[in-house]
Amino acid sequence: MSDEKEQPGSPAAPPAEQSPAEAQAKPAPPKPPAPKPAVPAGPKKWESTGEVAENGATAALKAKFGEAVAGVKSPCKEAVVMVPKAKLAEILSFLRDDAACSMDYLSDLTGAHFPVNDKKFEVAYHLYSLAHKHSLRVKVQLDDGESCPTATAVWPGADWMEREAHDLLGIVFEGHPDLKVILLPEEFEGHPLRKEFPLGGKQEEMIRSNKYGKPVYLPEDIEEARKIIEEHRHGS
Amino acid sequence: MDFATIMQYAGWPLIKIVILLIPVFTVVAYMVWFERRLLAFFQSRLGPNRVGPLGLIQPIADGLKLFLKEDLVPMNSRPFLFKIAPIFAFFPAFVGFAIVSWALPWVTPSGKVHPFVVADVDLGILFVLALSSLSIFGIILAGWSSGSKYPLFGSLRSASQMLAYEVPMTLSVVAVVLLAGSFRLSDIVAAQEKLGWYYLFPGILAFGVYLVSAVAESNRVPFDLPEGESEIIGFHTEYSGMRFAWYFVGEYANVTLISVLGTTMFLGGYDIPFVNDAALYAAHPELTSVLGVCAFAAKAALFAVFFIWIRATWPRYRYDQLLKIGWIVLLPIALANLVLVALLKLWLLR
Amino acid sequence: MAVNEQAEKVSPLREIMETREIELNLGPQHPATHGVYRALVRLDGERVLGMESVIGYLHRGIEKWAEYRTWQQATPIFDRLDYVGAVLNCHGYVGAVEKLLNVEVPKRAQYIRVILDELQRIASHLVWLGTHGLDIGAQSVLFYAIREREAIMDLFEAMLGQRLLPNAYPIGGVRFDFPKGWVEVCRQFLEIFPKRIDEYEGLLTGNRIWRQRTIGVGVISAKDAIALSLSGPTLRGSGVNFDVRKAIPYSSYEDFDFEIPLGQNGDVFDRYLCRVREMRQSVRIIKQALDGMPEGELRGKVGKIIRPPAGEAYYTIEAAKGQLGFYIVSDGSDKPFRVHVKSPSFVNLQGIETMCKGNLIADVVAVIGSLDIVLGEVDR
Repeated sequence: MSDEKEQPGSPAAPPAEQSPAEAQAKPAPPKPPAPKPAVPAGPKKWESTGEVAENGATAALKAKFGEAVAGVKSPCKEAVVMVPKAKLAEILSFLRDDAACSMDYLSDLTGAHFPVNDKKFEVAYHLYSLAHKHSLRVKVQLDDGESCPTATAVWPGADWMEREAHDLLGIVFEGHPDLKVILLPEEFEGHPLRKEFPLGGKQEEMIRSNKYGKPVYLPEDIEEARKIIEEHRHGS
Repeated sequence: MDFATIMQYAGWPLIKIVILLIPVFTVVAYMVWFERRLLAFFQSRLGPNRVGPLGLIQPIADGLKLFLKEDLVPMNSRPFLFKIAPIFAFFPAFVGFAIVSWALPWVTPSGKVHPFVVADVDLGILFVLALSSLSIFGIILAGWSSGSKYPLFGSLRSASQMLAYEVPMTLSVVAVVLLAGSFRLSDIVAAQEKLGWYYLFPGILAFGVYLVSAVAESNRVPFDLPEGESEIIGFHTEYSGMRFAWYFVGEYANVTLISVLGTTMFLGGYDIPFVNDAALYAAHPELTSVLGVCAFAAKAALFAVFFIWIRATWPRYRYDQLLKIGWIVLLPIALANLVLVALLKLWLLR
Repeated sequence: MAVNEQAEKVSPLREIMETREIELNLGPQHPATHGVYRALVRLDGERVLGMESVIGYLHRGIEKWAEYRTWQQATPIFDRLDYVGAVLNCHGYVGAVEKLLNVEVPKRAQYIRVILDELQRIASHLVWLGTHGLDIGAQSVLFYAIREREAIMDLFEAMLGQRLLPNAYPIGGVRFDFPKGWVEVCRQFLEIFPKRIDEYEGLLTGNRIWRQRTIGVGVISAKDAIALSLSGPTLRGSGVNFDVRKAIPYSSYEDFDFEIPLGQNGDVFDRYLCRVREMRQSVRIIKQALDGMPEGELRGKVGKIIRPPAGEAYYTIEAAKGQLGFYIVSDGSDKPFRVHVKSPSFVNLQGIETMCKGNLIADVVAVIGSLDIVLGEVDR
């Protein structure tokens, strides 16, 4: 995580050093740049394309909260709204309790890491109404280190989903009853789904960039490989 | 002491014990094979069929494997109790065979009578019941001394299960004793022969209670709670190698013993069905003995098939439900049956 | 009086005889946890006072891994989520990408997908039925269930070249049409299978012990089930009519006539009955799909290199365990920017604490079986 060089320049440019398995699959040492003529180089904000879709729930939200709720474009005509963090708890309980929305079923809760955006994290709530059979995605943007109000008071089922997002992305959910690790080992450092986290994990990364500064692959011989690992673990 | 006295008190019993133990061991070992083949037949598969013809050498291979395995004693355990516990499970089941009467006595040409029984104890049934209560110590000690929670649960379950099932089983046996007027097993068979009816019919309720509590007594499906392999793995979780094998053999010996006793008490033991045994015996004594043993084995095999059949068919009861059946269903039935049998004895079967 | 109290306090006997709660560690290596699930159970005797789930022993970082593969290359890894229902997982991911790409899947491909999905649902339910029966002590059902599953695996092998993890669908449609004679074998299976379900039901549904072990055990109310976001038969066992195939139809499910079995009490027995009846409905769906199979293309228009427009899509299907959702984010490149799997087993497992509290330890085993969890999907 502390590896500065691992910061991807552009989300469109897949970080070549981070994919060792792929590099192994393609033996050519300098990975040929992926054909990406449409995307200009340099950091570019991630933004959804498409058009804003509406349904009963978004209409009710607009009527109640006005400008605070912004429609988000979607390439596949899904109803998506972006809400400010300050009003999130209020909006979620409104969505559940309001008769026109009655979003009583929390289908999914997750987050994503956008290192190039101003606000680096997004949390997405996928809601569904069993009565009206409409669905809605509510999104909230967070800065790195910023916490998000918990949804467990509205849907108890958000419990494990929030723990998972906390585990893998490092998003802190304020007011969660028991925000501890769920999928990762307890002593695990870092949040694997953040973009700067290397695919192979930190240890592998350490081995690959050895003291001569060149990426090195572990030798076939197990004993030798173990020696190198030990050297790296204790040497540096 | 002359030779004859020594032979009477030590020699003959020892010879009989050896003669008895070899077939009993074989039967117990092949019970395992038989159960696996029959289960496989119920479950549309083949079962062990690779070691020897029809897999017949499988029990020997299994025994050899278990014998050669390392004997582990967990660090947390109480080693002395842990080591002696399997003996309690294994020993009573085998001793119980001593009182079983296998066939009509053999009369030598010189007029000496040799009963086909190791020890024709006149309180035979009481002796077996006392022994079978002892076997529960094997399970309780195993659970307690293993120093692990799962075996402990198994042994606790076993203790309460024994309380719930020993009583109805004893009461059902008492009904038989009442009918026969004797605790001696050979007398019970003789009484059934004399009556012309097996006690299955006058004691049908007792037979039902005996069957259910026998299954519970031998810790088999649907009452295999002390083992409960998918819940608490069992009281012998921590055992390995030969010590585990002792439990295993003990269980099958128990099943065999219970089948044999049930046969003796309810199915007429070595009485050959549809044949006047006394007349046949007068004419061909040896033939009658041989046929009697065969009839006995066939009847006992029916019991064994029944045990295996329910194992293939039924799920497992829960702990509290099992106790409820023992105390609320079986005990009143057994008591009512005892009263009925007493009245029957008083008025009809005098 | 005071002296007595004093004496009681220091009495060593009292210290020994005191009753205490036991904390029992169930798993991760336990025969009834269906994998590497671990539960810490607080017990009073055998009664469960509370329990805590510990998961993550099988976390393989599938979501992270997918970010380093192109959209097509990422497909096979999702078979490894729910490894007894692999075709359904594949459908979920592929459907999400198609939704983002706005690709029209040809009708024939949709029907083939329905047939394979439903076969996989039956296979998954059969594995569940066998292991659930085994948990409660009914051994034989496992072997009967595996026998029928074998027939389905053979059908998969003939059609897809693989049995367990067939990587069934490419993005945009299906790879192969039915091989010669496949439809006849499939129809034969559909003729036999309902009779076999009768056989299982004969062993379990009417069985006194089975009913005693399952009715009234592990109850969860409809309100709790919705609040905890349970899905699939676990939710429908409580009487909530939510099946993605009906609620948000995908892959032409609106063309077929089938019912959604519902429970009433939300106990283990109702969940069992829901799944068994679901197998019969699956047979119905497959028959209709085979009868009404349209002619036409197998794959929609999808290029060799896929670059979906920047944006996100959330696509859900009804997998064997419940609602399986794929939330995918694209940044316009040829690799997924973020893939999140809403796995039904993971969410359903949340309900276990509510279901088990106050029951006995043997019921915990029954409840775990009735949730039908697959740890590959729980931990991802």
